[in-house]
Amino acid sequence: MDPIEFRIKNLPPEAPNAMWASYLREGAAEFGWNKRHPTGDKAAGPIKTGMGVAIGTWGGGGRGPAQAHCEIASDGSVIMRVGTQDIGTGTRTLVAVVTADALGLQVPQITPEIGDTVYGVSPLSGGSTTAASISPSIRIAAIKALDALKEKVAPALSVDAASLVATGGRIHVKDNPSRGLSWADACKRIGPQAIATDGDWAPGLSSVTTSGVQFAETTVDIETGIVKVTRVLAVQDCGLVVSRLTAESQCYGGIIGSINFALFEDRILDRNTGQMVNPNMEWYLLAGMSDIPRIDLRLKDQPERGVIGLGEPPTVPTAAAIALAVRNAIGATVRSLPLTPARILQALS
Amino acid sequence: MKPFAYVNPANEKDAVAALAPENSMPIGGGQDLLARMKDYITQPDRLVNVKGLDSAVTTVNGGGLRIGSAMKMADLAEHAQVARLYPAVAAAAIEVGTPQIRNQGTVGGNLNQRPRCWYFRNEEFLCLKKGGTRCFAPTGENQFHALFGGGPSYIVHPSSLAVPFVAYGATFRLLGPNGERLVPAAEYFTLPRQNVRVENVLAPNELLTHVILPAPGNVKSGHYEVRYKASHDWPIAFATAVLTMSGQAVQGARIVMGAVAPIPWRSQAAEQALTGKTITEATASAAADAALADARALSQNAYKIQVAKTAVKRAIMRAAGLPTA
Repeated sequence: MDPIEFRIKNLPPEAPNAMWASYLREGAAEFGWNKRHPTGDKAAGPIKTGMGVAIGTWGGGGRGPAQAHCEIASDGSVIMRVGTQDIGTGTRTLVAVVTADALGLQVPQITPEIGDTVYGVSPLSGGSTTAASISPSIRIAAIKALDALKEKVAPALSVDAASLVATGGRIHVKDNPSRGLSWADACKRIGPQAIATDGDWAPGLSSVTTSGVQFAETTVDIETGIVKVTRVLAVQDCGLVVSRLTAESQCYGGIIGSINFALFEDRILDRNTGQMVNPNMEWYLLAGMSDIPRIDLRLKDQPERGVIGLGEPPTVPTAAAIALAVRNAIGATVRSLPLTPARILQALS
Repeated sequence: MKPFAYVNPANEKDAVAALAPENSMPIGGGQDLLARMKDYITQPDRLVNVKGLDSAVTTVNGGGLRIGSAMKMADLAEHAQVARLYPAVAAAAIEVGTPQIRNQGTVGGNLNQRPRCWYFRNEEFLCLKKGGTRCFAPTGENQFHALFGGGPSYIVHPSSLAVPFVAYGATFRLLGPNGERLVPAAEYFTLPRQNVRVENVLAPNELLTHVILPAPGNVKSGHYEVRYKASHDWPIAFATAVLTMSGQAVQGARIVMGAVAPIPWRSQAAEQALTGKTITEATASAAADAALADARALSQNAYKIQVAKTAVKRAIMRAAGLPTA
């Protein structure tokens, strides 16, 4: 049976965010799945090509405590402080993007300050939970600060604070942008004491559970056992896409991590002493530039679901898709990772 | 890393003199030696900088080339005359390490680097090569270890250049306190049973100053490396084939394998299998089978027999201009 049909037939009848069937069909069309040959490439020569598919899910939900602290000063500056750190995932960017969105400002107008315990309790970077934990707190803190600013601005405009909105760098009467003040002029009403507000995680602005489907194409040299990944396509959701560039970067990183999982990473312990014999970058292999295939992404935006973490979800299906592409290429199943030449040649013999 | 003295000699004669005190070592690009020093595998008292010695390629009598050992790997890989006369040397050089390593590492360093065996490189394992009483590979993790050589150490020789140099019949010029000596590349590298602590005949107070390649004559050559990763990885096995042709038939052949033995491993059985033959995939494959017929796998490296066969077959096919994967 076709692996895609097999999966669609066996998907759970009810599951949170069960998007796999539609992602499988969409991805198959884009990847050229109809060109996939039956298991075992019959092409002449030692290089065999195959395609594989796998699906994945991950939680990635948020939780408190995740304190955020917002300050708006009379010079128009906005600082958003969150205690959590950026381990390379773009947390700093996310802090600025969520704040700017809530205040109707541009991202460079926000100063994110992170990674300090004096900024309050904030979650660890793990389980892809950071974005969904801190984004609600940031939005809540920013909206509170904006509400305080509206109270300062409303008398000058002779309107009720509740009638004001912040868009395009202005605070103005809803549906009447001309009746308002620029952000800079609005902030001049703040006075010497900056507006300072706190926020913490609350339900309703984040969700849990992602869906992802990935397709991989590999070549296998059956005379050497060397596997090369030539293409990966990922169809992936993460709820609301806060920053497309950062989110896509997370997908690339996750997929590359899983290519390493599939092909290279192997903690080799000496069977007699238990010592790791490859505790260095010379023998603990990781993909280099030349080992990275073309990676195409179809990142799904689900704004109605709020923020969900995206660090780990794209790592879930890649290795399985690669291993199944290898089976499709050589007609034999390798059941242990990494897919070393020794294991490939063993499976072929 | 322990403290050490550093000597910057003006010429090769001074360099050799500077190597006289015990526990002195020459340092070229340092791509191997510095790593060993940081890992407490090698602890010299004194380093003698040889980066400034001859790094030129000069034409020698009869149309051969003489390569200074201080030549950078990157320069060797890009040298037009080397690539034209000895394409397997250029092919081997360009696949070494990374651009950074090739820009720093030298020809002499590539030939004289110590084994990459993970027991040798780990200070916790006092192996035969470090004065211990056993080789840990036969009963341990030996997936990258030797298929030939018969022990008692099962390292594979780490040099990529050594293999084509042996195949082309190169000679190494060694300079010591008593003057120079010329040693054929094939006799330079030594098996563990001769002296398990070293991999070659170079004395501690000698320098390998030049590689002298004879005029290639009417040969075709091919080089093939099987690598797990596309770059920055050691080949699992590789081979150089140098074929002397008489019309379409092979008159004589040199088949040398790398990463399968403690020295570059020449296979006369493969050479004989090719002699008189026209190169096809079938004759190349038969020679490859002959090359590995005497291989003795350890517990986990039997797959390397197939990998090495493929390297030999494809090196021969490339020499003959046949397409390979």
